[in-house]
Amino acid sequence: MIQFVQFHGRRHQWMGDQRRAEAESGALHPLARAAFAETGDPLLPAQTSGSQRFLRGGLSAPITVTWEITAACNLTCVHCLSSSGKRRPRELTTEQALAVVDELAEMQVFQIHFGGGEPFMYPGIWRVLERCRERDLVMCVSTNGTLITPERAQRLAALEPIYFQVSLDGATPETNDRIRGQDAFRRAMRGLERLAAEGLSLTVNSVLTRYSFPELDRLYAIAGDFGAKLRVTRLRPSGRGRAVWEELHPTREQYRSFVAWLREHPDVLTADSFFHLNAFGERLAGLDMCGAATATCCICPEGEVYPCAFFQTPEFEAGNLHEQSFREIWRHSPVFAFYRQMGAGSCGGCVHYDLCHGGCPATKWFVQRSLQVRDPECVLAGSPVDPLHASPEAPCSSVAMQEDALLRQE
Amino acid sequence: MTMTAHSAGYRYRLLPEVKIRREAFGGILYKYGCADRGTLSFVNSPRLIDLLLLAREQFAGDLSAAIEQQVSSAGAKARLLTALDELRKRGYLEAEVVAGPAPEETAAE
Repeated sequence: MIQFVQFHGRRHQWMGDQRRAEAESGALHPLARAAFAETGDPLLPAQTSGSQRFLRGGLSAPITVTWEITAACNLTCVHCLSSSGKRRPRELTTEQALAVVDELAEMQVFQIHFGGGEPFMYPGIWRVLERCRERDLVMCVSTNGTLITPERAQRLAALEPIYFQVSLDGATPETNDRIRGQDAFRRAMRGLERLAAEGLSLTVNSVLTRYSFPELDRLYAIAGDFGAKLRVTRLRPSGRGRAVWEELHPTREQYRSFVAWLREHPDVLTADSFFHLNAFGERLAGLDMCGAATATCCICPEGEVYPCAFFQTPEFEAGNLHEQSFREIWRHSPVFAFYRQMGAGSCGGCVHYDLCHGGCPATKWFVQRSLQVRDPECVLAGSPVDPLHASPEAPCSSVAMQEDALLRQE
Repeated sequence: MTMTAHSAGYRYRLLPEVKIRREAFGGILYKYGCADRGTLSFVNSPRLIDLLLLAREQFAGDLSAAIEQQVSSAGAKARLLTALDELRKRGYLEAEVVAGPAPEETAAE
């Protein structure tokens, strides 16, 4: 019998982490310490809901680790979340990277998601992928597709199960190449063809912008032509994305239409990145909260570890693999400990908080230098039903939570 | 045919590609890939997680055999079978017919 129950399991550990974090708070960057403090008191376990019941306090290990294995890239996309281009001086050596794979396997991490930069510009990429295969780690490679030769595609096929995301930020050369650079569309399509020819598991990954939104149907068709699924992700104001976010991020009306479009295309993946749109009132599939520092984190080329790929900024660096083990950072980093206890900030009074849990902290930080504000793309902000500015008489519609991931056996 | 959770005519087998990890609240089941909509479940029952791990380690994934050997109470067996049927629906297990359908299943056909 399935029951949806309140989870209290990690409270004891969580309090331990809190004390540890307090003791080590001197290690926190002052801006991070101030930002965390502004979010208010941590939620009590009885106040948590949805995915938060399980993720609050962190898991014993990440579910997925995003690993930006090199900053080297042959493209210079205008929205690159890690400002990639040139290889960086302290990038992990292949031997160091192999040791990290071993450690992640020992911690029972389920999946490594390789990105960059362009992963195929990392000199040790083959050895790293082969080690993942040996250690039974699920591999996902996010690539711009331009460096996939028929020979490489064939070699990759021998590493199955391995999953590929090839980036296309528009269904036409005009839309895509204004983001990803000249000729990027044609070269990515060629990469897709070569990977598809080997029967590899593919997704076409597309960052949703106000310019790509009208092309969603065509992107969906392109993915279908390669036997791939379409994966649409949220634009974040990280890295070079900060400079173009205002221009590129979708409008609220586009987001509203996007939710309807997703409903009509249930096979489209979203990488759990649009949970802030749950505040429209309809819970999308997947996590209903930010999984950074709880279910996932990001390893960067020079060994820096951050809460997620979109939060690469020195204030929130949790540790560095040149100095500490991954396990040590995951379990004892003050940044992670505080991140896991973040309060609801100004969203605490919102009746829709349980649907979106305040949105994306990285977006808040890069747009407003604060973690206590609401998500800059909060779909309720400024709307007639804005719950944070509603009169006491205003009707509050409570949306039933669709809890589909909790099992309890009595 | 409608398969009920309490059917004695099915053997539940854990799919080999499913990963299981213990957590303080119970554990996580994972069957995932970027090209598929990921399957990830938080299981709020340490006992169920223990059973899944036991089945994998000692019974080659045969959950029915693990239950037969480890669980004596009929009530507990029924509850476990209910949970296993839910896991089957979520794609973590396969059910194999080993006997004729139970009477209520015949009626549902």
